[in-house]
Amino acid sequence: MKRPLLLVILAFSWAQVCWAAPLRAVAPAEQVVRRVVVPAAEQPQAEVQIVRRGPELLVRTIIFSPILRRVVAAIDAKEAKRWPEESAGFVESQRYREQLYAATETVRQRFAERPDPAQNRQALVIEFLRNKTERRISLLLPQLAGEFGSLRIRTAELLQSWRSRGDYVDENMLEIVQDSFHLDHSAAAALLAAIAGGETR
Amino acid sequence: MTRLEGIVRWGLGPGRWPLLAAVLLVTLGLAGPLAGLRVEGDTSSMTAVNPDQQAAQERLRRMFGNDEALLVSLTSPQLLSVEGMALVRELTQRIAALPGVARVLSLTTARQLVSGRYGAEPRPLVANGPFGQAAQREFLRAVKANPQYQGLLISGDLQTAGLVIQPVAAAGRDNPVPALIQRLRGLLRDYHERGELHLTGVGVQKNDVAEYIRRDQRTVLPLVVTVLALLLGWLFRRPGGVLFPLLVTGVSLLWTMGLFAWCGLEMNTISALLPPVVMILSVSHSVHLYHGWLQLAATGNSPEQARELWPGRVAELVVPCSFTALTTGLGLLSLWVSPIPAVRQFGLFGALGVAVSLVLSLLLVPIGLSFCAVPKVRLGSAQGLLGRLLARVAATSLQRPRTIMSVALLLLLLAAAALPRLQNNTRLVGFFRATAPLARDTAFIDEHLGGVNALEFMLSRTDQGTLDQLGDYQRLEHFEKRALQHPEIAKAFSILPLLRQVQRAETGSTELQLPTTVDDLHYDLELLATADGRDQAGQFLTPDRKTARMTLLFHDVGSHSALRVVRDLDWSAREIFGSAYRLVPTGSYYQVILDSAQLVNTMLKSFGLSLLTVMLAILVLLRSVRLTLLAMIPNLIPIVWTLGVMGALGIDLSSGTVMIGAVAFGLAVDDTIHYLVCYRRLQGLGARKAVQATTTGIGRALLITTLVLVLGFWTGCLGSFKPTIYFSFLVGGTLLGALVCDLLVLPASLVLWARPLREGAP
Repeated sequence: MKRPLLLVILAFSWAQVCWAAPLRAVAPAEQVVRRVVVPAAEQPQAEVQIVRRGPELLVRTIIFSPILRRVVAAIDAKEAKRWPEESAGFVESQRYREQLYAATETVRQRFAERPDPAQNRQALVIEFLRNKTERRISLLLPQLAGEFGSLRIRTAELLQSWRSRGDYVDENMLEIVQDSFHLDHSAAAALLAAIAGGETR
Repeated sequence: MTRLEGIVRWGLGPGRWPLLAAVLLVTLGLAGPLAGLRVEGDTSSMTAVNPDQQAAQERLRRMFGNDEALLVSLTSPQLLSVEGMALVRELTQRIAALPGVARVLSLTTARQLVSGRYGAEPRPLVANGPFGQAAQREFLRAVKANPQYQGLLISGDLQTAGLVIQPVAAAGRDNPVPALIQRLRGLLRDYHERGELHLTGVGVQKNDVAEYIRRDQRTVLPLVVTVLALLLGWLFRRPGGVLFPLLVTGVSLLWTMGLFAWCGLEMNTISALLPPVVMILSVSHSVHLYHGWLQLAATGNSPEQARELWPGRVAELVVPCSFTALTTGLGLLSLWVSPIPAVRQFGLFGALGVAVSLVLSLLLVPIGLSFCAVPKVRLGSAQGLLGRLLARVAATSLQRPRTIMSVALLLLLLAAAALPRLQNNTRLVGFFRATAPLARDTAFIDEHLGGVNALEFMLSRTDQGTLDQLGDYQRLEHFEKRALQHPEIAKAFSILPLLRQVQRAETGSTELQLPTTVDDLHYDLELLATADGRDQAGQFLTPDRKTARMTLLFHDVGSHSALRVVRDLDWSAREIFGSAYRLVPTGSYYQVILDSAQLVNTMLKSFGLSLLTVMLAILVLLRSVRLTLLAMIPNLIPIVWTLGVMGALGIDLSSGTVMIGAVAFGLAVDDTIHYLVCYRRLQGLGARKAVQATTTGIGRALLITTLVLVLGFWTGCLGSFKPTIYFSFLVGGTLLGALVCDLLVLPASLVLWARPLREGAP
């Protein structure tokens, strides 16, 4: 009697681990220090957030758009322009673009199966993360709360996450902040440095 | 001495200086407004007052922007070459840089949607860089894949490129279009050696109409004066015979147009007829008065006797002159039933001009002649010739009254047979002579690049809901297919071609078709609403997606054919959209079609009103039902003849020609009144003798006034607009026909049917 019971308990535990593994509760300690709606508040497609999570600094793009593919296509086009074939980050960029494409297709498939047909926006989160030891890129399929200007991730399914070259991630974080917050390169760098150093406003 | 004669004696005696001073004061007072008279910058007064349609047009402009694009075509056998495409690019850039241009759509600015990794990607229709063989092949493939550009930006034979110019939206004095057209024409002249260039569009039509009105005022008016002066000189052979009628004409014109300007009105294609018409009409009373003055001198009176008799003669002429002015004015006033403001203005101010000219004739001519020496009159060759002619005419009408009536009836039947061929048809470009640049340009662009007249539709749901269901667009597509089955329609523009393009690019398909799922539709619509597609999509679907626009480009077919298509489309729309949707036709072209459809109705109403009021006036004057009915015969016959000639020659009813019946009737009846007043005076002699004496006595004055009127109207044939040319020609012709009827048919009918005068009758 004990063996079947043990098997059931093991199976249940395994299932729970498997089921829960892709889902990641957003760390409660994170703090959104800056946010901006892009490309414009009148035609919102995404929100870019600068987030501090303990020792980590994140530049997070929450795409929440009825034309997800078009938005990702714009990101892809910028990425291709920023990292041409002869550049140092080309290989990293290629990987990012491939993962982004795959994530977009996943989101599209999930969108087609959505329970509420009235919901016409597709969501995808791109995170560029840096801390003292690593640089990381993550792609997540989130459940969102709030509206543009105060978007919040309730839960998120991790689609892809990988370590990347430091200079590639740093440069991309800078470029995203620069583009989204309409800053020049040095102002964007100063902003990120300040937030990483503890500034909260 | 009658009371009227007493008034005339006062006017020609102690009252003449105060009266002249009053005329001078009013003239000076109205000269100011006349100096500020402006020509209408658009053609708004040429369309009927229709609040629903005006609101719909305003809504269309508010939602979708300026609907009056200009179109330039560039034709070159080497269009698809490095040089040819560089020329299109250069021309596009130079036009786009002109003030007042919002954007230019051409081969070098148009974009296509192609299928990329992430779906639809915008690409230029013509790749940047030199237009080499590879680029040419790519371009041909792109044109084939994007049929919405065929016949708009490139002709079927690939030798003509179209450039669609969207002016910035502004109205009134800020309207940039007139200045833009001048700049465009200047710019196109720079390129005439490098290709054949044409310019058209509703804005060009309006601009050119205003220009031609100004030109006509500069050329036709002096010509009318010259013709009148020559004719009066030939007929009277005296300076007074020329100067007095021309003085009355000039002052009448100044007063009428001064009042027109004082009322804040502007000249348009119809009111451009007012000055020559007022001038011509002003002459007739002066001619009758001057003729009366000469008759006094010719009948052997001494100068003193003539001066003594002159007030009485003037008083005698006041009644027929007033009644002829009344009937002419009533004919013109009957145009008030027209829904077109320009026609109503013409009728009202034409009638006012007649009244003014009567007053001025009765003041200036008798007073002026009272200062002159009584002439020694001898019959000139013209008068002798006229006298012999009139005697022959009188004899014929007495000897062969039945033959005359039979011939008139035969001609009437022939004309009546041609009446069914008469049709209401308005072609705005057809208003211009075939040699006018706009007519040439429009015909060329219509032939090579498709239609030039835009019929607009606005589609919305009756429940005010958004157009975001597949069924909405499938119905619109069904309607589009029905519309394109009509050969009169060259192209259809709407959100549908854009949706098909996006769908093809998104799915990587080769077929142009609408989305098949709601998700795809929403995605495509969202995509079109983004910055990349907003400019194009915004012209056909409002941002809230509650109203869609469809533009059907018609070939230059005229309103008669267009009306048939519109009625058919209306029927199709009911079937396709049902009660859940509201499809509102609108736009300048639709208004023209609607107005044209009302022309026959307008003509019948105005002519009926003219007939009724003129008959009443004659009845009051002659106090005889029989004579009133007989008076109608010589006036109705020439109207039917004229309409028959219009039918036989294929002259359509338009805003200009529709006025002919009412105006010509009011004018033609003048001679009849003069004839019958004279006949009544002599009726005691018996019908035959009265006819003989009337024809030979008053016939000369009738001939002179009619000749003046006819030649004066025919001078209008040198104008720039076909409706006014036809109006001038046909009114002149009708008056000529009416004169023949007055001198032959009326006497014949009097001989046959007039009752002998009873004892004691007035």
